[in-house]
Amino acid sequence: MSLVEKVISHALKLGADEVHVVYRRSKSSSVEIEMNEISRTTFAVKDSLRVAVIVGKKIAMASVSEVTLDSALQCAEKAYRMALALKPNEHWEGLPEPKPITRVGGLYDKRVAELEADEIVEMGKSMLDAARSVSDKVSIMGASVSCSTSTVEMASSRGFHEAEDYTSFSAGAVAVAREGPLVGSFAAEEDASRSLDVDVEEIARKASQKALDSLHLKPAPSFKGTLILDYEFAALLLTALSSAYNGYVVWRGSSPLAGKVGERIASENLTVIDDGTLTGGLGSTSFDGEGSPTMRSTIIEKGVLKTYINNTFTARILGMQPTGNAADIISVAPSNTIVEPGDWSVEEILSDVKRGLLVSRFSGMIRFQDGIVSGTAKQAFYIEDGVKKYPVRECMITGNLYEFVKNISALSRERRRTPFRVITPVVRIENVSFVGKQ
Amino acid sequence: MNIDLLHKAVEEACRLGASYADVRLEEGEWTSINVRMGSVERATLSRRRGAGVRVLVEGAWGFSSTEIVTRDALMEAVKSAVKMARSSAPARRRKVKLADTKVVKDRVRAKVKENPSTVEPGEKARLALDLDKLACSYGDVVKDVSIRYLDENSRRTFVSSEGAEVIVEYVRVYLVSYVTAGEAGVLSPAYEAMGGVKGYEIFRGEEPYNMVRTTAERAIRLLKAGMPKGGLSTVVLDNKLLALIVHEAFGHCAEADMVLTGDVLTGKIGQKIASELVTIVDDPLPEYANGWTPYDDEGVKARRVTIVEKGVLREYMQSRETAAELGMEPTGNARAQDYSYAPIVRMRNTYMLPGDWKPEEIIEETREGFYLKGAMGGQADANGDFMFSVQEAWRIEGGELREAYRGVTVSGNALEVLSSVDVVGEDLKIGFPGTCGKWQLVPVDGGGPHIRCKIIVGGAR
Repeated sequence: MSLVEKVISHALKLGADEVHVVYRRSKSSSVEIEMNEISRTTFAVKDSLRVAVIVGKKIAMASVSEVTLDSALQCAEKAYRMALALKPNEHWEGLPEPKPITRVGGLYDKRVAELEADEIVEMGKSMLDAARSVSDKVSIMGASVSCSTSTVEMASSRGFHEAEDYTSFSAGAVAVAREGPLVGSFAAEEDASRSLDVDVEEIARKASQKALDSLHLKPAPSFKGTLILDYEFAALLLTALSSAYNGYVVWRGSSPLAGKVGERIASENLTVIDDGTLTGGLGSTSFDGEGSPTMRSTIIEKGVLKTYINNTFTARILGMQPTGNAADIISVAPSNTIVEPGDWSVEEILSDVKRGLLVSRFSGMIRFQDGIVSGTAKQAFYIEDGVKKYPVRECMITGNLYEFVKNISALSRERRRTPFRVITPVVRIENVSFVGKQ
Repeated sequence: MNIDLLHKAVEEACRLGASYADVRLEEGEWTSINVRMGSVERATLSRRRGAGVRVLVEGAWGFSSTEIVTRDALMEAVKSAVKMARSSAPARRRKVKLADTKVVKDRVRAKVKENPSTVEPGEKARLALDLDKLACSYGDVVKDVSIRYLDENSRRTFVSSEGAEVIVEYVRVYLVSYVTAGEAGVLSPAYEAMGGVKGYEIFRGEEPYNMVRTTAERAIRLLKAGMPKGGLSTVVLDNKLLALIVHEAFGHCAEADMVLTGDVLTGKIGQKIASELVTIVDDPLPEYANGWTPYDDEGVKARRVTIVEKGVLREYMQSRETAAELGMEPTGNARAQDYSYAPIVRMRNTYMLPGDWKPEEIIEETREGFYLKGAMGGQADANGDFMFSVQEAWRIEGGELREAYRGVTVSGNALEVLSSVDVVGEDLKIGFPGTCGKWQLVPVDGGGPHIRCKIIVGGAR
C-alpha cells in the first residue's frame, strides 16, 4: 500500500466517511537579480501532504510538510478530530466518483528538469546584458529565472488514485528608468511555460524598453473614446471576467452573471474558452484538484454565456455538470482561459481609432462583483487619427467591466500567452471615459 | 530540532568555503476557518517545518531551502547553497559585503494573554458562525458573507557563522469579514479585518461583532450611493487609508534596495520632501502590531527608523547588505516570508506620527472636499505615483458630512500628497494588519492619525 492509501485507510478506520489526499513534492532552482546584480541563486525542496476528511457532511482539512508515514497519519487524525468539532456543510453531497483520465501532453519537459544551476545563472546574466544593451538609464529592480519539477499524487476513498509530473519554467523582470531627477514607472514583463520556450533576453529587453518609454510622459486629455488593451491588460480584464463565471462565485450570489446562462452578455466578437487539456498549457493538468478529468468548455460563444466553470460540489448545487475546474474539493478556478482571435492585425486595430488610448499596464481595480473599473493607465500611448502620438501619465480609466465586454469592437489575429494563464489577442473597446490632467 | 545541528550546518558551510553562513529553521502551526452563509466551508490545520541555508562564497549569495529537516537533508542543503553561490560568483560585478552588527544570543516570545493553540477548533468555528449569522441577520439584501478566522504559532531560530543564536516565537490571530450587499442588480462589497500579534482574548469581547456590523452596514449603505465627480480635491483621510498610502506609495521608496536601484528618494537624505507637519517612522514595535519584529531574519536587533522627520528625509530601511553598500547601519528590516526565501529589505509597522487636531475639528474646518475612509487595495510606482481604491467616501460641505459615495479611487504622487498635508490629527492609531507582497509576503502593520491633504479623487460613472 502506498503512503496516500495508508492515510486513507487510517482515516476511514478512525470513522471518516470520505477522505481525499493530495501529496505534492517539488524541487526548484532560480537565479534572482536585484539592484542590477545577480543577487542570489536558490534551490528549494518542498514536500507536503493535504488530507481532507469528511464525517457526514462535516469537512476538515489538515496539511503537513516533511511527509513521513507518521506525520501523514497524524495529519489525518488532526483533520478527523477537527471535522468532529465542526458543523455540517449542508450543501455537501460527497466526493466525485472516479472517471477515466486522458493524459494531457506537454506537461513535463525533460530539458527543464535537467537544467543545472550554472545554466540558470547564465540566463540571468544574459537578462542583465540584454537590459543594459537597451539603455544605461535603465535599472533592473528585480528579475528572476526559475525552473521547477513537481509531482502531484492524489487519491480518494472513492477509489481515485493518480499521479502526474509537471515542469515549469518562468522568467520575469521589473525595470525602472532614471534620467537625472526624473524617475519613470515600473515596467514589468514576464513569461512562463512548461517547457524551455521562454525568451529570457527578450523579456529583459521589453521591460527595459517599456521603462524607457515611460520616462518622458505627457499629461493626457480627458475624453470619451477607444481603449485598446494590449495583451497584458486584456488578460487582466479576462481574469476579472473569469471570476464572474466561476460557479462557486455564482452560487454565492456575488456574480452579476448569475441566472444569465443563454443570455447575451458580451459583444458577439467575444468567444472565451476554458481549456484544461491544452497541450503544454501552464493551467493544464490531466485531472483537476478533486480528481475529475479536465476538459475544454466554451464559456462565452459569440457573446452568449454558455456555462459557468464548476467542480462537482458547485455543479451539484447549480444543477450543472462539472467542467474539470476544481481548485480543490470546494473551490473552483479557471484552467487556461483562451480568447478566440479576431481578424484584425494590431496595426489595423490602431489605424481605425479616432481618439483613444493604447494601454499595456493598468494600475487599479476591476471589481467583478459590481463591474467597477477604475484606475490609472501605465505604459499607455495616446492615439489620434490612427497614429500613436505620445506616452501619457496619470490618465484614469473609468467604466464598467460588463459594459466594456459589450463594447468590444475588434480583436487581433495575433494572440499571446500571458503568465495569468490567459491566451488573448489585443482587444479594442469603444465608449470608454478617460480622465487626464491636461 | 537540536540547535547544535544548525551550528554544525553553518560550520560545514564555512568548511566548504563560505565566508559567512546562516541557517533559519522555522516551525509552526496555522489554523484557518472559513465560514460562508451558515456553513463551515473550509477548516484547515497546517503544520510546517523547514530550513533555509544562506551562504556567502566569493562575494556571492547562495540559498537553499528544504522541507525535510533531517541531519542529512540539512547538510545536503548546505552543499547545494555553496554550489549555488559558486555558480553565480563569477557573474557578480560588485561583491556582497555585510555591515557589522552586534552578535546576539537571545530568545523572545510574543506576549499574548490567551494563546489560540489552547482554544478548541470547534470554538473558533462557533465564533465565525456567530459572526456570519450576525451579518446574515441584516436580511435578504445581504447576498454573500464570508468570515475568515486565522491563527499562527510559529518559531524562527536563527544561527549564523558569526555566532548569533536568536529564537523568536510568534503568535498571531486574524479575523476578516467580507459582506456583499445587493439590490436591483447592484452589488456592493465591503470588508474589514482585525488582528496582529495578539491572542484569542481579542475575540472574547464585542470587537469582532462590531467589526462585522461595520462591514455589513457599509455594504448596505453604499448600495444606494453614487459616484463622485473626479478631480484634485481637498480630502480628509482616515487612519486606515493614510496607513496604506504611507506604506505602499511612500514606504517602499524608502527601502534601501529600491533606493539602490534608483527611485524617487534616491540621494535625497537631508532634503525636504514633505510638509513639515509630516513625520513618518518604520517601527519594530508596538508589540501587538502585525509587523512586530524584535530581530530581523539576519539576527539584527531591530530599531525604529525615522524615515521623515518634520518633512525632511532622514533614513532608509536597511539590510546588512544594503547598509554596507550605502555606508549606513543595518536597521533590522531584512525579512523573509519563510524558510524558503532569503531575507530582503521590508517594512514592519509604518506610520505617521500625530499632530494636535481632533479628527472632528478637521472635518469642521473643511469647507469643501471629501472624507475618505478605508482602503481596498491598490498599487504604487517607483516614482511615487499611486492609485488606491477607497472603501467609502463622504462629501464635505461647510464642515459637515453630506452624502456617501462608492467605487471611489484616489491617485496622485506620494511626495506631492505628503507635501500638501496642512492639518494632522492627534488620534494616532496603529493596528491595520496586512500582508505586504514584494516578491514575498510578510505581515506588516501601519497607521497614523486623520490628516488633511490634496489628492486626485476618481470614480467610475
